[in-house]
Amino acid sequence: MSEEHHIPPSYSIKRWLFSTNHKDIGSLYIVTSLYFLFVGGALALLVRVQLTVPNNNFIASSAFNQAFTTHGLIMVLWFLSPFAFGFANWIVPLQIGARDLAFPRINALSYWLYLFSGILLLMSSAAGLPDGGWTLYAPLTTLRFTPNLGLSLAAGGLILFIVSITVSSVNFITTILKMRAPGMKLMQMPMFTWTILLTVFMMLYAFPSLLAGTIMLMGDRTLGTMYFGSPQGGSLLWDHLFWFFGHPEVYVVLFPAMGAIGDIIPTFTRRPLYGRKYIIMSFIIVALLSFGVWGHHMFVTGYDPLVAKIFTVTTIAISLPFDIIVIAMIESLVKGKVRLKTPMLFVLGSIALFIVGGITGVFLGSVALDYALRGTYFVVAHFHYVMVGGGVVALFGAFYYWYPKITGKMYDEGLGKAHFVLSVIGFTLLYFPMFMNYEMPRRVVTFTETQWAFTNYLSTIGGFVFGLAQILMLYNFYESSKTGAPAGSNPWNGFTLEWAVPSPPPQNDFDVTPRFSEDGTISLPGLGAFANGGTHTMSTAHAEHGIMESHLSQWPVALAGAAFTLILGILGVTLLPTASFIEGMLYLWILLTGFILGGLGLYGFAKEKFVSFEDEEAEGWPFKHVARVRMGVWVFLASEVILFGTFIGAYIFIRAGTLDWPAINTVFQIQHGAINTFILLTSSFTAVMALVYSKRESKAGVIGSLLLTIFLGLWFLYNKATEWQELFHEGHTFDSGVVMSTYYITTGAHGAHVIGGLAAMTILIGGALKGRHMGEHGSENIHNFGLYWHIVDIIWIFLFPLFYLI
Amino acid sequence: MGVVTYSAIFAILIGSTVFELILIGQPLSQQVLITSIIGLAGVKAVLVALFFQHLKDEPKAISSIVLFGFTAVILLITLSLLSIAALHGV
Repeated sequence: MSEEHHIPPSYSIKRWLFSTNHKDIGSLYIVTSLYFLFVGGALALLVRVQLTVPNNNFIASSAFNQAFTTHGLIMVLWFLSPFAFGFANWIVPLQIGARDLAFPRINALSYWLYLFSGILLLMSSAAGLPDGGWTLYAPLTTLRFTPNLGLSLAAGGLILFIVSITVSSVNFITTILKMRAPGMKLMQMPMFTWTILLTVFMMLYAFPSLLAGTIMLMGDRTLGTMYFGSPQGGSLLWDHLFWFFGHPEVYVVLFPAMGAIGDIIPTFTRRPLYGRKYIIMSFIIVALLSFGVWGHHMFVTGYDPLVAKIFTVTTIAISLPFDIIVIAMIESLVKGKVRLKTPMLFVLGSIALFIVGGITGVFLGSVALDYALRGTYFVVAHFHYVMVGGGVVALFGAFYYWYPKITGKMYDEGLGKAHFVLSVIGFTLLYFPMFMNYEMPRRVVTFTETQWAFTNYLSTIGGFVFGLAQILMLYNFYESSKTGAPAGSNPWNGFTLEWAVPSPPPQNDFDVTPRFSEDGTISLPGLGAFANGGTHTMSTAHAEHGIMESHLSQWPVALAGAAFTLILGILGVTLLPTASFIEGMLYLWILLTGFILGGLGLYGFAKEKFVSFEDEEAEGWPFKHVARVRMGVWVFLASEVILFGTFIGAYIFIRAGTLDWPAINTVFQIQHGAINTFILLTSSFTAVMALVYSKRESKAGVIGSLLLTIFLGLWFLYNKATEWQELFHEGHTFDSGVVMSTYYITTGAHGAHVIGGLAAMTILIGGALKGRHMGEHGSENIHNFGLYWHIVDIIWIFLFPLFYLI
Repeated sequence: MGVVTYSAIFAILIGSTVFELILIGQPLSQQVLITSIIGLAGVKAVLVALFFQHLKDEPKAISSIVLFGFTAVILLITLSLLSIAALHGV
């Protein structure tokens, strides 16, 4: 018996609020991201209308600044990646033969956090949208220069968004590396899944530096810390933190689109992708190198020439693997029998546009050219050719490609082709003239020079054509979902596994387990598909009906709502000094509601019996023997390394520029740090003893060890609070300078992690009281908690000497 | 791993923390002091990771995921520091 009858129908609100099924979550991502596409697009059209003619005053400069800033933020963060991850949610489990993601409820939580983060961003319109550029350059974004609440709301939204991205990355990495169909080797994964895997790794490592930077910015804006308002930190510190995230983000946006291209080309050329192995290697090299090129965004900051040389070399180097990828794709086209269906047309358009975007990017990797072109419409044209041409256009192709699989209906081919033609015409009219405006400064509300008049006029016409073309796409998809011809399971004769299941697929995706043989052949009883280079055969795999997998949970949306409420409450509390009594009470009530909702959400989430399917035979090299949750925790800890590494990096950066750093035992008393170090080290020992007792099935031992660990954690927090109180009493407050800024924010973030550990232990004790977490298998939860608790200890091991001993 | 191993690691962690506290009272140059203390912190962190987090029993691929994060952070810190080296006359 399948679970389908437990799932409410698609018109039920309950289904869309509580579903954890990857396909439902994928649909939610696609619809929400398309909403943001049209919001971001509308803002872009405002900008274009203003720039249609010289000396225009259609909108005021403040509105213009808000429009282009929010357009950038929405398109890069709230549209592009979530749009791609709508398809990733839908398609990746199908491509690897999994029945869902590794952690379905976490997947739902990712979506709801994303939605609430977007609501926070849009709420900022009531108090003034961000207006300093999508790069949020500090100190422009500090309270001194941007005093409105809007930016704080947007920064709060950004924090929620990054949390969503992080948990989503953990989920996809665990899924792809541990839940592949039996026999499916990494190199046999379809290109889309490969690029999603690399994308989530880049997300995992890139976003924490932005999270740390945004927390520092929020500290500056709400507590009065001075990371970015001081000469020691300032703009250069923000630039490093932002672009360390920002450059990999380009590939985060681009990779899923190129992966989709990699799957669409073999289908529509009827031959395997040329040089597939080398394309995968090139993607891996780009992903690795992406963390070493961020400095080319900072050539004009005047930093050390040696560093500029390093970043020039790495920037030029990263273009080489892209050459291999693009040439291999073109070679596949040349050697194949091309079918010009709509998905393929978008792929061809995307490759052509990406070549232009890529080549113009190489120009900007040169210091000399970058000095000349920096901050001009040449740069605007370049990155739109990459991100819209290379990214969005290909993802539209992916939408047409997988639309029959998602809906079970065929779209209107004629309208699809009209959409393509209008998109390319609109795109070219919109962006190509910007290359010719290579002397025109971007982010300026109007211009007087008549030589830029015609090109800007063309751009505005192109903007409207491009925008209207997207309405045609929506109309096509909406109408086709009602009146389209039935698609069948494999309308394109595709080679990858998603085409072997019905369209749309059943709730559990596969009633039988697909199997891969050495040559890439996929076997399914009664159904057939073949992988690149494989031969078409059937297998004797047995049917596996009766998969009992839950699909509904109310806790993800509750937890995301709690996080949203908490951020509103925290921002409200920072306004207390200037608030009326009623306002103050309201803010405190919102905060309290957030805490209560969060507590209930965590309790409900932990208590809920949620069964997700696990296949003992799943291919999981090289993590076959690592349990799924443990793998997820380790991946999450990697992001924690970057998060706290960034806080520590900011400390070192600031300390390097601070001549009068306080001598030891003057501001920070060694005894406070030392006592807390002994406490945390002891708590690590008691935590590991809980594991020992768990394996020995000693309930009293587990509960005793965990209670002792909680006591030590509370003692640590008490000491920390006492120390903070003393420092405040001595006049060392949040706004006392950069030294105290680094101290309060870094140790504050660490303290928040200690509190998180205490909450986890409370839940574990609840389970232990009921006899859970015992024995070799049951101890896994204690082990996984220990991984987290020990990283909190490791972080303190470094914070202790940095703040107290040197 | 058994209680004896965990206890031994715990003793080393406590002992090395005491050693850190002794070191700061010694007439050492700032460079030697910083190197020694950060080095000791690194050793303590590795011990916790290997034995308390049982990283030594996990596949190398798990260590690689964490180590890549660590390497990326080192790169961020090194290049950002190099970028201001000229400003501070280093």
